[in-house]
Amino acid sequence: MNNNTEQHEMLLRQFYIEQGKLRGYIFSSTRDYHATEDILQEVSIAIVKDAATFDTSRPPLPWFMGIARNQIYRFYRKKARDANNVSFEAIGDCLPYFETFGTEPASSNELALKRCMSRLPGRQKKVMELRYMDDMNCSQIAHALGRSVQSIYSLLKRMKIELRKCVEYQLAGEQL
Amino acid sequence: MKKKVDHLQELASEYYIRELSKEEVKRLDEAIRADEPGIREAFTSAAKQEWAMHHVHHMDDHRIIHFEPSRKRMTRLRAIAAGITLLFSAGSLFLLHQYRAPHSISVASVSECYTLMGEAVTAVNNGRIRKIKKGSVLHSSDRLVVPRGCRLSFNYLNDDTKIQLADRTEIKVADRHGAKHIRLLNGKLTANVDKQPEGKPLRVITHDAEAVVLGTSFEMFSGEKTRLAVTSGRVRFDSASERLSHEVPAGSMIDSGSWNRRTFEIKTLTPIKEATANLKDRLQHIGVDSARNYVGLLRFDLSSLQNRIYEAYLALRVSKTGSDHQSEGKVTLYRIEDDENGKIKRTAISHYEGRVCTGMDLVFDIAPQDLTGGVDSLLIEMDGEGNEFWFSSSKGERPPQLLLKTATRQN
Repeated sequence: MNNNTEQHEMLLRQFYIEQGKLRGYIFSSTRDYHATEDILQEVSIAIVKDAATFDTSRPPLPWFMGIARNQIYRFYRKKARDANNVSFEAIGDCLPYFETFGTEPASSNELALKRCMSRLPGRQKKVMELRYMDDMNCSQIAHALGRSVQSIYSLLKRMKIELRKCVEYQLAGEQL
Repeated sequence: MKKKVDHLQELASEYYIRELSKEEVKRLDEAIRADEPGIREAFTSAAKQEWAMHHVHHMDDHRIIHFEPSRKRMTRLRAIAAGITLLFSAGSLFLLHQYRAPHSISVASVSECYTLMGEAVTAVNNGRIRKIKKGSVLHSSDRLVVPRGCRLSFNYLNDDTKIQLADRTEIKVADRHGAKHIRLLNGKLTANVDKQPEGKPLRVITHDAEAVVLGTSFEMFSGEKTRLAVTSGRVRFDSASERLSHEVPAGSMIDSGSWNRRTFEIKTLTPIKEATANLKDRLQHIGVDSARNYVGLLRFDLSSLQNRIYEAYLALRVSKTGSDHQSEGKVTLYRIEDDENGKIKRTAISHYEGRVCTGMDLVFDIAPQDLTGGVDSLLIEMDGEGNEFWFSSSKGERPPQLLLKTATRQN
């Protein structure tokens, strides 16, 4: 029992350390915010549940990624659609860049982003809300607003560039 | 060269906004694996920005697991670990502290929670698991898991909206600026929705469809496809992937995928005959037990039904008898009929494996084509080892019911 508890603790500690990478790995595969958080929760539960079966001589990250992959396959099966995502190998190559993916508490970056978004003109704000609050895809937004899908892609792309600039400007201002 | 790099970086950013073509995904994939200049940075930075945009919009939901490097976090994780270890290794009830997620909005209160012994309805929120019982308060972003054999009902706090969840159902509840949102991840829910404020309809979202409700009663099932059946009022049913939206009136049902609207009515039949083979007394019960060769027999008359059956369920209330409060085993539901040689032919049409407790409604799903439309005789038998199951007969607390969703005449 003690060994089991120690193993749980060790694995959860590792899970915490690797969480940014896992979140990036899952989000890049699913491109679905809610699914990413759900899968991350499932992974943490599976780690505890199956801790006893883990071979401690091996590094835990590939094991975590294996659990996450199964959940991602399940997600796509449930959605009954082709994954059409960048391969797990390619996403795996990007892992070092995902180190801090979404693990920081409400960062100044996020607060700046929130401020920038509040300054968007009404129509852009509407598109933003439909996309990120109501989780609609571009076709659904186009349908809801009676516009072409291409115009929504372009608008989102443009907005994201503007927001990135706005965030950089805000953060630079804070540092001055 | 620069043009190629720009194009790839653009693809990396668009990957998170639109569905790239297979060729575009292949090109991006190869570029990442070949570590083309700046592509991995562009790909990961686009991912981070897209995630941050979602996160900022959902920050108020407090749904993100922030595994902060603090002692408190590790203590919480250990608590989860301990709870889950108990759950899975001991196979008994796991008792976690009743936890109220900080700052999360209370949305509903549990009015009924039926669980099998050793099972628990649980809510997961912000990485924490808690056991749900009657009177528990549900919070925004709670993910509820109703295991096999259990059921749950809850009432929203700000009006008379009532939601019932069938067994094997998983949902997420959320409050979005006063609007009720439910993500039906799996299973079936029945809703009686009070009139909702203007501009704030209740939404039930599945993987491929969405129901938008202002005030009505309906049933929604999410499996491979989503089925919506409206019993009163009107519900808007939207496809998640296509530009399709349907107003579904009372007495109509619709499936995602086919999008054909059909009208229906619900019929409840009680048996014209019921008995337990090899048992003459205990008429209030129907018994099923392999050791004593008890076999349940039910006969329903469907000959008066003229229209097509869309869905059929046999609902049996588990009754208490003697000292038996809980049983476990595998039971199979057969349809029996005489074959051409006058011998009895049995066709397995549904089964259940697991535990049952007094008060539980054991529901067998029956494929409509397994009913003949005349007089159907059904037999319930326990396979191999198992403890006896007792169900209420028509003389007991609740008669066996064959619940049918059938087409109406105009279909």
